[in-house]
Amino acid sequence: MVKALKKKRKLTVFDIVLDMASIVFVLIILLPFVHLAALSLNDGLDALKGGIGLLPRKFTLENYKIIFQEQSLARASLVTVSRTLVGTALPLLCTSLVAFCLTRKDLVGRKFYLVLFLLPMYIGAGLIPTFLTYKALRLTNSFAVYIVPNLVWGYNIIILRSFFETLPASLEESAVLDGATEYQIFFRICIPLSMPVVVTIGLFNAVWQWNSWFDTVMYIRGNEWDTLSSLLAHMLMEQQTNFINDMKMAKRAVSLTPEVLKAAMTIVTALPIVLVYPFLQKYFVKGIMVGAVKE
Amino acid sequence: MKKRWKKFGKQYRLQVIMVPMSIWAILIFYIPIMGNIIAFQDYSIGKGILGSPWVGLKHFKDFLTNRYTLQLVRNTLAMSVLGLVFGTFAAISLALMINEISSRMLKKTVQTISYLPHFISMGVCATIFTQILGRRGLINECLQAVGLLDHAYAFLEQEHLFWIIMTIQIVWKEVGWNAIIYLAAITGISSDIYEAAQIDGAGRMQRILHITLPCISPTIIILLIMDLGKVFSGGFEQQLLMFNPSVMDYAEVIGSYVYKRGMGGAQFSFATAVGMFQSVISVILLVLVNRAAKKYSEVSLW
Repeated sequence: MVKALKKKRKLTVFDIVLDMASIVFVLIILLPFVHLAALSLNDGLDALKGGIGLLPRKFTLENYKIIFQEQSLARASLVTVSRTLVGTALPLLCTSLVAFCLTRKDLVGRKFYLVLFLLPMYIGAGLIPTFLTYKALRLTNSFAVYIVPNLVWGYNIIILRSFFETLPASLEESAVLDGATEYQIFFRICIPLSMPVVVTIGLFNAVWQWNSWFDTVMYIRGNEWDTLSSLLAHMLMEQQTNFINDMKMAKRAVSLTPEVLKAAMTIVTALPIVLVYPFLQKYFVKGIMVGAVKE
Repeated sequence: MKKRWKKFGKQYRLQVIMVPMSIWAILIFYIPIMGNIIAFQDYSIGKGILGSPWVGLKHFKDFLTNRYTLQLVRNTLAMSVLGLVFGTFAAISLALMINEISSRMLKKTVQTISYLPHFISMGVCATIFTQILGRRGLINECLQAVGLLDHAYAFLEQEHLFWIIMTIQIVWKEVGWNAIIYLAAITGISSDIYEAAQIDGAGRMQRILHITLPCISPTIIILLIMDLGKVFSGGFEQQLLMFNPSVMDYAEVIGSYVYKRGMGGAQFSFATAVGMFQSVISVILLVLVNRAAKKYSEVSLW
């Protein structure tokens, strides 16, 4: 009660200006999304007249229906979801296994392995040699290029390894006495106890996989393995929208315009992230701190 | 040696993971690094590395004597430095603002929303900007409605605006994320100092200027120094997506040039040479900057 009174009295001009500034800031971040959402829910031909602000004028769900009906877009959504799922699960397994092995002090070749996996964080090979190598490895023009190059990443090894090392050694010792193998220790002790870290890294990976587009543009010819993000990127870079014209020719969508379709695709690409990222918040503040200390 | 092999055999369960993963790492990370030797060849896919003729430093010479090169370097540095300066300024301001908000709920909301653009794909971000700044976009409509413009203005096709738009875009996208580290630094300041200042009659603005800012200045300087190491390697996703021919002379950066010459023009050797030039300078910069950071943080002992 006393505290509340005190607080109320302290509400000064400074506070009001501050609150207003922060609301303006929030609007600057949010309004572009709201505007795009309004466009995406508006009739295409009507949108050409302009003047759509934050609410749709001639409401329709047609644009979204078309996205999910049109084969190339439905396929892109499917590819995006698959690359996110597979591209999160497999790297998570590989990275945590490698990190687990590297916690073993008696591992033969431990120093060599550490350098081997951590050095790529600091030196990159460059675009063209990487492309040529992937091409020689037959990774290009296949779904594998989304997964295989991303199996293990040094930064995640550091985070996982330092977490595994904090686990009490006694647990493991008693497991060994009971005749547990390394794999059993990994799956039954390390992973269950490290769930928060594993989930965080997994979510970050998932967001990264969902958003990636440059690897598609770089390694994939044709549109077989296009993702939602890469379709958006293609539309921006080539400044032509082939499939919109294709669709128009098929007369499936009379009132479809590139503008509203792009808006709808943007929303479809962004929405899952918007829904997921608040859950990340709890962890990433901590994660960034770990990184900062390491630096 | 024998003992080592015996030990190796005994830990077969671990080695069965590490050996294949090491081969993977060599194929994915290290073979491409060695592949950089094609910068000294006239490489063609048909002939391969073994069959392509060696040309020494020809491609490096070509690149460095090209008139266009200076422009590329200028664009790369300009956009990186603008992003760094305004990004840092914005992130510090946001952190200070969030820290001062008295309502817990508003604080939390502002913070959560500020992260949003960081998690959004650059493709989405670029689409939003091209939509809003386009000839029939929101900004044009608003400015025409209030009479500041009498006909549509193509913001994205203006050479003199391109750097500014790129800076606004990257600041909009990353400001919330970058503020986290400053906020953490601010939270670390002992409340005793504030109380003492309050007793001495310092107002809130004074406290920000004379306590908060000086207390986080080591963090600011370290982060600035570290980021300086990245100015030459700056990303090119933004420039690739927001590119249009009318801003060509101001939009092309080294990264996007490598992509276009290599993948578009199939000049693999030349593009590799340009990429190598960029990474070598970046590494030198990073080493210098790391040394500076070490020196600084030793002196300041924070």
